Amino acid sequence: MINREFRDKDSVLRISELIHKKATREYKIMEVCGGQTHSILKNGLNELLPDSIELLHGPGCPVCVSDENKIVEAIEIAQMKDVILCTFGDMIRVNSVNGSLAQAKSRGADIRIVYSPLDAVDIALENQTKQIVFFAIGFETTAPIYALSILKSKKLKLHNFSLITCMYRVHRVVDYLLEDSDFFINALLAAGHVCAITGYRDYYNLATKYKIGIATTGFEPVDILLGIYDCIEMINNQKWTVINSYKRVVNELGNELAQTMLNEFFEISDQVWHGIGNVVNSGYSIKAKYKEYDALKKFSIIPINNLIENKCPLSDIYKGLIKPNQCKYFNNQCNPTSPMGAAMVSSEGVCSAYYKYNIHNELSC
Amino acid sequence: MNCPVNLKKSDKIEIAHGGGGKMSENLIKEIFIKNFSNNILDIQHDGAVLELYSRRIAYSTDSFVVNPLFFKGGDIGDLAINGTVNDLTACGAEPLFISVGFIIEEGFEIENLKKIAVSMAKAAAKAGVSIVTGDTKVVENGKGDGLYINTSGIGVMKEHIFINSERIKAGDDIIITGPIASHGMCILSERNNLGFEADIKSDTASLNKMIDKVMENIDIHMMRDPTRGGVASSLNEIAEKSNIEICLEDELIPINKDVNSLCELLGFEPLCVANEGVMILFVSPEDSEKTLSLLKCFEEGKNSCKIGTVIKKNVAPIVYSKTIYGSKRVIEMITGEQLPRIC
Amino acid sequence: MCLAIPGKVIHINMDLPDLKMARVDFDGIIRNICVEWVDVEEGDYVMAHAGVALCSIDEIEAEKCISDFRRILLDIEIEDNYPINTDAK
Repeated sequence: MINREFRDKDSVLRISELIHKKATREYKIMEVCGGQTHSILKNGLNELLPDSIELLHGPGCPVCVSDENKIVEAIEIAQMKDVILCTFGDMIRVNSVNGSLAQAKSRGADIRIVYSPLDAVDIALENQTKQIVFFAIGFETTAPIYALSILKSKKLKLHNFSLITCMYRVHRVVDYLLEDSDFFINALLAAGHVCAITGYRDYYNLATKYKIGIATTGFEPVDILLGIYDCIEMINNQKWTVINSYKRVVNELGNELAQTMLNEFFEISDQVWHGIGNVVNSGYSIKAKYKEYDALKKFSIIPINNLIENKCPLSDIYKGLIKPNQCKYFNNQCNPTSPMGAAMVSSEGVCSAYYKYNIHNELSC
Repeated sequence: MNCPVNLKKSDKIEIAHGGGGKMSENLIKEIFIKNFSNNILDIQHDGAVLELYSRRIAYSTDSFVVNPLFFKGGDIGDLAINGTVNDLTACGAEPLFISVGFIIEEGFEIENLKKIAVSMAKAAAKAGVSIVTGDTKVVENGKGDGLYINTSGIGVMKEHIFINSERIKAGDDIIITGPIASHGMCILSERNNLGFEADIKSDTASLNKMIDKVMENIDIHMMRDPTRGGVASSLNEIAEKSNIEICLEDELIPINKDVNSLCELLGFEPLCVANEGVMILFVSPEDSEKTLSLLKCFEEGKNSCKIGTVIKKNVAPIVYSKTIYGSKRVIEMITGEQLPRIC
Repeated sequence: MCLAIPGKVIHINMDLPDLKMARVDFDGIIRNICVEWVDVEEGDYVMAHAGVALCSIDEIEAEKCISDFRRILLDIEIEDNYPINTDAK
């Protein structure tokens, strides 16, 4: 596999050694993406870094940031007659005021886990007497795939496929977090797979506006350490720019075909982030001319805008003010069996990753 | 606690309650152990060990609801025999007699039932057990998933053999008899709904002959058949029962390449995936080499290897693994079922 | 977020009525992946997320990345006269 060299033990240890040599001051680096958090903890990369480098875990897990109100809407639609609701695995366990999709399934709703939104269109093709609704959560990486699913449904002339959209723009929320004066970082590992679609032109602005280094970063151990190394070089040289540390996947312009498709079907809109709140222009919604693919409009559901009071201090975790294991509920009232917030549910969620790999500080081996 | 996200506790059974992880554990504790508690059940091994007329007898039961019924490497029939045989084996018993209960859905193809019976007979013959009693029920169309099978088994405990988590010592080596996660990933790939084509065979196999050979020569302290919930669940349960610290090494854990690829595609932790033909053994370090050479004489054990050690006893229970980079990660028991991770 | 895995294109299917699809080999596991957005031939690698190829993988860049950081390590070694084992693999 092409990734093998990027897991090589010797390479990892040597970059780690290099980072130790170059790290001459304190560094605060945020990895935006939950997949990176997961890889860091699964591979114990945090242990290979000097203490002077603090990694902050960003809001990059779509399951965790998804607006709880959307789950309530999804449950309402899933319980309607002749509806099949499809979504991704982790999403079905996230709790809302009306419980989780897994619980709705146990009450008889037809809820299916699929690998791809395109598979849901195939389900629509095979079940033309039913309405197939995809609970479309995700960032810029997944959003164009939802556009593709609408395109596929159009090409197949189906009228029984629609989306409950909960799509987020990670670039915008990073900007929003950085505006907060409480929040301080020196550098950012930008999410490699988001950048595969969007490119990284937009990140130059963030770099100069907030005086941070940004490295577009992949997910294998060598990728992550190279991203961190590039950040340290930028910080050491006070060079506030963007370095592409994931060149085999990311280029400056991104995937323009995907962007075109995204813009055809979706427009930028405000979006509520679980644990952060409403952020202007931080999401996508379906354009009016494609409203037949908008499940809320199709089933005449009035969007719910309750701001849900939640003790889970997720936004403090995203802002890097506290680490998951410093949260007073961590492993106490909040654990994967009874999560207080979605970051504990999703296996990419930062709290879940901490719980899994890092709860015990003193291991003797 | 008045945290709104957590107000709803499940009042209905969810699929995850059967996943072999924490949700299963809680269900068993809160409903079954609570109502049935006695000093045999409370040990919670793969089977119960009973004293009957001064003989020690092992008794175990298991139900099989696998979908699809036929999969690469086996079917529900041999799976049902091997599962119970292995549960008895893990107790340190010689499996002898098996009972079989069939719950068949109206409309099920008799030809398929024949095939399944043939494969059960073959599996029983290979393990050296007799199917001595059974039951058949038919449920209405739509009320079953084709076929469910329950098997129970009785075995006689070997003299002077005591398999018990309390016998684990600090320094014990942990041995596994074959590559992990094959059964779980085979079943997942055979269900067409995720759309993957894989040539992954289930590892279903009876292990009693092989383990017998080891027990004749080696004092095995503890054994476990890591089925649902995988190696992670079994080791965490053992760690909790015997208050030990277990350290695995990622580099040593055997897994077939395609099984690992499918785990990566879905974001699964292989240590949490079900096995149906491997055993975990705890032995003294000086017995390690010999155990491995005995296991390797058998087809089912040819890829046996050491995967870790017991570091300390009488400590807060924990299981972790050393990564290839020398760092550590904690190996948790899964919560419910593993779900394909996409985002 | 966005779990994406590299796979090798083994066959491209141009005759589907809807989208351009390809059979992709993920180290022993095969799946149909939509290749609507990428210009690939059989034998090329793609990065697939949720059943869709996000991009093709630049194998030259992959090799260059590895050789680049080996060069960095080498430079540092020369700079510091600090022996780092160079035959990584």
